[in-house]
Amino acid sequence: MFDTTQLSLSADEEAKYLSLVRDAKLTMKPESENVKRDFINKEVVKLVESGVDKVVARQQITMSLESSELYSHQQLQFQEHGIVTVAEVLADPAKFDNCTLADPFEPDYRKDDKSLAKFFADKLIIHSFVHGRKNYYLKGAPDVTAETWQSATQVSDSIEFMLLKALPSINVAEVSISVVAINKIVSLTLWDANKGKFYSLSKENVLNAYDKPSGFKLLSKVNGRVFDAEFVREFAQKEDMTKADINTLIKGCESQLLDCLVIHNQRSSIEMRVDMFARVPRIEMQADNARIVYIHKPYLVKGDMNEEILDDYKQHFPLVDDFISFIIASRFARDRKRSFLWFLCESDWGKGFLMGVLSELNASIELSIKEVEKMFEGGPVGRSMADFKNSLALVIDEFKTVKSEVKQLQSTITISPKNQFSVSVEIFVKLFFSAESVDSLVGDAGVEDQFVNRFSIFQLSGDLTKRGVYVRHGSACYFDTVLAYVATEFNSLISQYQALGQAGAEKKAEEYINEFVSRHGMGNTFKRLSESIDDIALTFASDIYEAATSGLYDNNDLADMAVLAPGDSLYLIKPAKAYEVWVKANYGQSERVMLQKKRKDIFECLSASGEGVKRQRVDGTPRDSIRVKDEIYVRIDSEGSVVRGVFG
Amino acid sequence: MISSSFTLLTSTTTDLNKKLSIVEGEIVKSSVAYMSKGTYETITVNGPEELNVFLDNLKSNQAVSIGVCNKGASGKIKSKKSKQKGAVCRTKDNFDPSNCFIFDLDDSDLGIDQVIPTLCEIDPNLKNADILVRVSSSYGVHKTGEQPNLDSCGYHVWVLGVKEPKDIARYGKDFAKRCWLKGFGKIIISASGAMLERQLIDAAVFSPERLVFEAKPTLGDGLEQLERLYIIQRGNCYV
Repeated sequence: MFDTTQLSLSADEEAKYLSLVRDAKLTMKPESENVKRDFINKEVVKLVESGVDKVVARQQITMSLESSELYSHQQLQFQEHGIVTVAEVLADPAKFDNCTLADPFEPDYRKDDKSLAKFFADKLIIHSFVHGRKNYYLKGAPDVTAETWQSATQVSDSIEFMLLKALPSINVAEVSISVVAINKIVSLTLWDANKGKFYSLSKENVLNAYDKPSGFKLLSKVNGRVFDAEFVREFAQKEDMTKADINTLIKGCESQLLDCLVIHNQRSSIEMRVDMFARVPRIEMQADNARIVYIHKPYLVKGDMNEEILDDYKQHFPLVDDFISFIIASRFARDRKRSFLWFLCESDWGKGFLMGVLSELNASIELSIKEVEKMFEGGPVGRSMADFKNSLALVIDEFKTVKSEVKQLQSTITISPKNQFSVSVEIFVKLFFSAESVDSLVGDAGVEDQFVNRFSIFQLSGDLTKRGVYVRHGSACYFDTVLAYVATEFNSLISQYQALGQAGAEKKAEEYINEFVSRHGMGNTFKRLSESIDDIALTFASDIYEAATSGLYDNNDLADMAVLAPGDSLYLIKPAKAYEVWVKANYGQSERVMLQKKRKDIFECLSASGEGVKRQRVDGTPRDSIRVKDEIYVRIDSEGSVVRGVFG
Repeated sequence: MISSSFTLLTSTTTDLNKKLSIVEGEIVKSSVAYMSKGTYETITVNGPEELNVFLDNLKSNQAVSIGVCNKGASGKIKSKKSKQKGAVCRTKDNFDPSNCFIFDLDDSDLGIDQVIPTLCEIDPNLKNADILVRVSSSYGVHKTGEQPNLDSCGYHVWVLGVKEPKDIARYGKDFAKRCWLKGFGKIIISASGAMLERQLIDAAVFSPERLVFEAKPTLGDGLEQLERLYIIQRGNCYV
């Protein structure tokens, strides 16, 4: 038998092999650069002749060589369809599915053989067998703008100019100035003058900070070599340039790029977004800020799911699938005004457990109402942009009071972390957890309409920790199963939405949220305050009548302000004061604010004219007052007699 | 005698052999590198002579792969998109390495009698292996009445009776690196300026599911072919 294991490479041999390849490439480099330059020029001419702008043509061809992506204007030679552009293929991929074509970069390879590559519509790739196997990815345009490409070209030209000025005989092609690397740096880096730092987005989806002295070196390391400084150094030494002059020249070349960043990419505030549909992270330079756009990374599914545990949890929390779908729909919906969900669950139901699952997945950020208030005030907070990056849900635990800031939690929030950029971040579903009702949200008088319109509610009971399956398997095992399930469902739903494209995903998400709110909206459980206005006005009126007629009313202030004028017209003088006194006497602290806001509505409902408070004569004296409409306290009884009093 | 197994692939939709024809006075070669529908069958041969005869008899819609299917000795092949039940895709998941492999030498200036000695310079242990060297299927194709161009030629070198099939992929990579150490490596420049690493052998052919085109080519009008040459080495390392 033939024993392949007899042949292997020692570490020294491996190193020797790498060194041989490197040396061979160095030897071939000038020729390679010349061929590449000629190739680009030839291809640019071809595109320009077909009507493409020269800058765009050069950008697309150069980027294409580096990225293996093919862009809209590039031409493909299909066996069946002849010469077509990438844009034409992208417009109708099905037409070209499984069709063979020539290699995109070397169409004349093997005498124009148009069977060496094949297009696959499902992934929009061309698989070529020329020079081994290689995939080309079809795209509309490079992930860069014409502006950044132009800046990169200018930086490249400046470096070339500096080199030629100092070393007129240098072959610039051998310096390998990379417009692509410069373009990547210009596209992905911003300068913060206040902090004196470059911020650059890595392909790993991380925003790195570099100080100015090490900026060039590190930016080149991450994004690709900008130019071959070693070659310049060696060449300059041969030209008898002093070491100090060489260093100055190289620094000068580096400064061309850094200065471009400082001048054009200087921003002091940023927005953060996660593009669920993008393949690579990017920075969008806007007039006043920079928008950092990360890509979505699937949630990590750890461990296996235990079916018994999963069934048990679904019995305990029957709405879990609805809950997961609501979170993901809120992630894709453009309008998240109605993505508020209140968990009103008794103690030990498992609120902490559920929050723990979201937190473990890095899918939530927990804030207190105080922190939210501080964020809206623009105060420094102990939260950074990174906390929000993978967050699908904003969680508020121990929900006790609802303030106006809660309503402002819609789609974005600005945070000002200490010593960092002020950042606008997106927020999606808002989850509120409490064991008891929140009086300022739900009172005897009902729920303010603006909250009814926003909030859905889950009222759940049962003690998770006392469930037999939970006790038998232990909390850790139970948690791991739910964690794996939620992560799996998140990833699956996100994939489904992504497959719809942005517009389709937004539409589906909006439809789901509407359905969810129709099933779980607070309006299904609680009365709207607007629907209670008549009842409140009636109660108020009856108390005024009692105060005005009986003289027995407990509250003397109110008695003083209710006047039964001649003709039995009932007036309320000092109505604002009277209402305040009445609310204070009849409602708890948390409801008073809400009812005070409704004062105008109640006065209008109360008044005979429908206008609320107006200046009118009461007992002959003009006063700002309300004349209470008769029908509230006047009735005709069955015998046709007028009866005045309190009618509930 | 150690038997060796590989897979016979028969396409039901297209030919899998090379096609040569005269276009504008030039001989033009094309091949279909994709097989999306057909059948597979595990074939076992006893030695290089039997393998040579088998490969000589391949039909135009047949090719082979050096691996064997792990879903059964024979069956149907489908494309990745197909939902056909019971059929398998020709992917690495479904094909395992078997006990043979090939070295693919493209555009070589070696004569056929120099191939095994040259490979043995890189791995002397090959002297003990069962080997079949076949010139590539398009060898010696020429216009009728003219002399064939034999300046360069491609070879498929079948090595049989491999002890550790799972080691073949690693062996292929290390063999390619060792080519460089022995002076058989070079950088070539593509038409777009890319620097491509090349050595005596193609480093990408050690995958079990990959098609190996061995069937006779289809020749267009005005073309004829020399008889395909082969060399067999009988190893002596049987245990």
